[in-house]
Amino acid sequence: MRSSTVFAAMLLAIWLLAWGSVTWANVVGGVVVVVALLVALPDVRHRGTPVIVRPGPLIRLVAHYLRDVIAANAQLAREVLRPRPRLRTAIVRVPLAGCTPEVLTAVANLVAMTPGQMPVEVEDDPPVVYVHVLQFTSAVAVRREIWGLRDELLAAFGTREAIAAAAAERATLDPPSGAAP
Amino acid sequence: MIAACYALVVLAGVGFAYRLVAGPSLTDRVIGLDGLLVVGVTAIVVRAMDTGEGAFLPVALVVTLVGFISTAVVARFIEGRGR
Amino acid sequence: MGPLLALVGAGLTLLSAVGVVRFPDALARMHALTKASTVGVVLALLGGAVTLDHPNDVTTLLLAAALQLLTLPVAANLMSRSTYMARGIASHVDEIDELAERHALDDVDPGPLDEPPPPGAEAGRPG
Repeated sequence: MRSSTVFAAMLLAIWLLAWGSVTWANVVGGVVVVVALLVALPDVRHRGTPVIVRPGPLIRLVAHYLRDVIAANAQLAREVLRPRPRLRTAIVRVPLAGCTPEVLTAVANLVAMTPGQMPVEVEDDPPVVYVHVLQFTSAVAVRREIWGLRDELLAAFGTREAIAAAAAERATLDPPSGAAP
Repeated sequence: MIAACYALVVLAGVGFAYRLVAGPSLTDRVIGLDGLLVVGVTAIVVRAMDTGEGAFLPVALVVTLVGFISTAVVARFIEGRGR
Repeated sequence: MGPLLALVGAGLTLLSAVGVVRFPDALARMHALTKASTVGVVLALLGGAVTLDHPNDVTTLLLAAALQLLTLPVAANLMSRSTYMARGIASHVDEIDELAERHALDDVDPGPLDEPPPPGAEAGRPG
């Protein structure tokens, strides 16, 4: 399935949700609007990269996201109710190999909902995200957490080359023997 | 329970309004405004649950979209203006 | 079930407001707003979708919930970036700051924040 097809299907779904009911008039109107948009945006039409979705890793990713969101709010509640909020802020650079622009966007959005982390800057070439943390312990810990997020996203949506590139970069920057990079 | 929802939402609105008025920088005021938009959407939904009429629900949808666009535009403005 | 979800959502919005009032720094307040009020408003909208009957209302609320979930983190990313880059806003970073080196590479001094008007700008123009 190509990405332009997925784009068209999502737009049609949003159109039908906005109109509220699935009648012939709504469906025909939605198809007309979607076709007009695809004609007007040649970049989306020509990209056509195949879309990969693996359901098992996707469910793990959704479960991880829900756990993160609950943990983020619990941590926020603890910090807010403290008499004097104790913050040690820092900005950490996290290189992310193997990320297409879509996966990079997804990583940045998921990092925004992770406990104590917020993306400040996202760069495309080479893919890098700069993360602002509230409770800084060590740069390696932050990087490991975000690499874990990236690996889960690639396991659900990425091509095999991307997963291999990500694993290769992680092996050089974070050797499993535990030596600090 | 609906009354408790209203009370929480009003208190949240007061908090965000304080940040909108007192925030030393433009970013703080935008944060307060974004929070007020979220409070508005929540209030619309609670009211719809209270009365059972969904007449105002498209307003919640439009506020979401317009709020996002305006936040993005002000972000560019802050970066250019430097304050 | 619906009013309970809305109550939890309103509570999270209040938590976000308290964080926005109490945190000392603009970037930290961004944290509080993004994490708590996104989830709060999505829960409130889902509570409304469960309670209301008319299919038109339910689809509008579901669409609003999906859009909130998608747009609020992106807006937070944009605002955080602009806040960090704006020279006039104090970004107080305690420990390491690895973005500053990156910006020192391509930072050009743009001059004072408020430029004086160029000379002769108000000379009479036909119009």
